[in-house]
Amino acid sequence: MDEPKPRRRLSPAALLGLAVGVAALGGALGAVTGDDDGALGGAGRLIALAAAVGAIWLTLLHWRRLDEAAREAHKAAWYWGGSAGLALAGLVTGLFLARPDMPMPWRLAEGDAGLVATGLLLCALAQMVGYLVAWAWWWLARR
Amino acid sequence: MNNRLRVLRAERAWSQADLAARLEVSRQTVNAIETGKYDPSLPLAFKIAKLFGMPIETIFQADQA
Repeated sequence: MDEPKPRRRLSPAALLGLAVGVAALGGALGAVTGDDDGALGGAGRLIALAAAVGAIWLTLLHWRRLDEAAREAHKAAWYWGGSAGLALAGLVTGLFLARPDMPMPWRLAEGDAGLVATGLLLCALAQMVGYLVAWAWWWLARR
Repeated sequence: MNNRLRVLRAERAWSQADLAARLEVSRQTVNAIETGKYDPSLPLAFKIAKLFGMPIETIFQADQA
């Protein structure tokens, strides 16, 4: 009798790559069709939402397939790197508060809402950069 | 925490990847445990002890104070 073939499972890294790809595609589609108030915009938003849900599901699968050290690396990186990134964002916030006349070289959109959105995006980016640095540090220190 | 994982693995001529596959963890995790830079959780320590058929305390020893 033939032995059952072992099921091929996607590696955690492949799942994470897939999640990032799906999220990027959804985001790009949402950005392209976002200004359309008709059926195209509606469909674009719906697909972008589905992509976001799909990316979250893939991320959860990725997390469940990680071993305990990999999870520990992510948790430590989120705590230390994310906190450091947020602290850096806080310093920049203080700088802008101290110098309200400082020109903004770039913003997501015009008006107050655009400024708030830009600030939130930059905070998230600072946390992400801190997270990536701390994650790499965690593994390099344990080689 | 000190451990004898590298010795026990070498006695069986297993590579880090072999041991990682048996424990269902990554090779990097096995390396981090062997070098003493990562202490495994209690469930993983029990799994290691079961794999080698030894009590946990003969594989892992606390650092001398």
